[in-house]
Amino acid sequence: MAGRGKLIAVIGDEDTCTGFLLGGVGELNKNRKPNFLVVEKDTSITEIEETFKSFLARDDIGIILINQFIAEMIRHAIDAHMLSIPAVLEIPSKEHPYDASKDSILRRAKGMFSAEDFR
Amino acid sequence: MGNKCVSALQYGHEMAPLVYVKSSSLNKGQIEFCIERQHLKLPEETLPVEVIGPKEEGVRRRKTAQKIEEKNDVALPEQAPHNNEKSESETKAKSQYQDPLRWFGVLVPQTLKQAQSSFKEVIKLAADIATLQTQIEATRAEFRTLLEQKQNLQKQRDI
Repeated sequence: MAGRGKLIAVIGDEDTCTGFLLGGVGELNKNRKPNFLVVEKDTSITEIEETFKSFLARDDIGIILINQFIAEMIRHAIDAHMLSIPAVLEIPSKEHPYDASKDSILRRAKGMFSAEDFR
Repeated sequence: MGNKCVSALQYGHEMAPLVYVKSSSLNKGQIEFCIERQHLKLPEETLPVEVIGPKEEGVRRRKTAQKIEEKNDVALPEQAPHNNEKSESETKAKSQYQDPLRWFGVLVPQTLKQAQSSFKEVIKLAADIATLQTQIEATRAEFRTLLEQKQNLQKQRDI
């Protein structure tokens, strides 16, 4: 574990997860806990949020990839995450193209130049 | 499901990551992510060819073959089982690094292979984007502190 790098976690729809798992990011650890969550139609928001928080708490995860439409469901949890590790990346999905104006990091960056600061 | 469609139900029961992300911190709290890929063994090794037929050639010479084996056993009584254990654990470790493409069958469609290579590329890009994202955050933090300094200086001047 020490010499090896960290994992990439994925929270996404079936197509996104399958793609990244094909790329070789998937892991089932000793407790058979996966580093990915396939979000189906009947997956509850609390389940997504809890999985996201459990990924944040794991120290073996370096990057969390999340579909932007799923990120929208748990926006408050993503906004609350301020640390740089794990990095949270919002990615497009097949049905939902990427919208930069929704991205937490880019919104924060735009907020840098608010009118108040230039008084 | 079927040949043309894949589903989450087909994921392997054992998964071992083939890619890791290494993070190294640069100056001002910036973090650089880079991808490390475990090298898959050759496909021949993934699917050992099952040997059909007798393992020892020349059944008629079985007795002499056994004798030679016995002699060897006497000469190296302790090493032999140890070697066996080692090779077993090696094969176990090797079998962990299976190509995820195999979850979906032996003869998978070409499109699935294309998807796999595209996603391998995407993983590298994701690491690059994560690096850029930390740079944005670091720059933002720097901007904030500088802005505070500026405002403090302005206040002092006004007084």
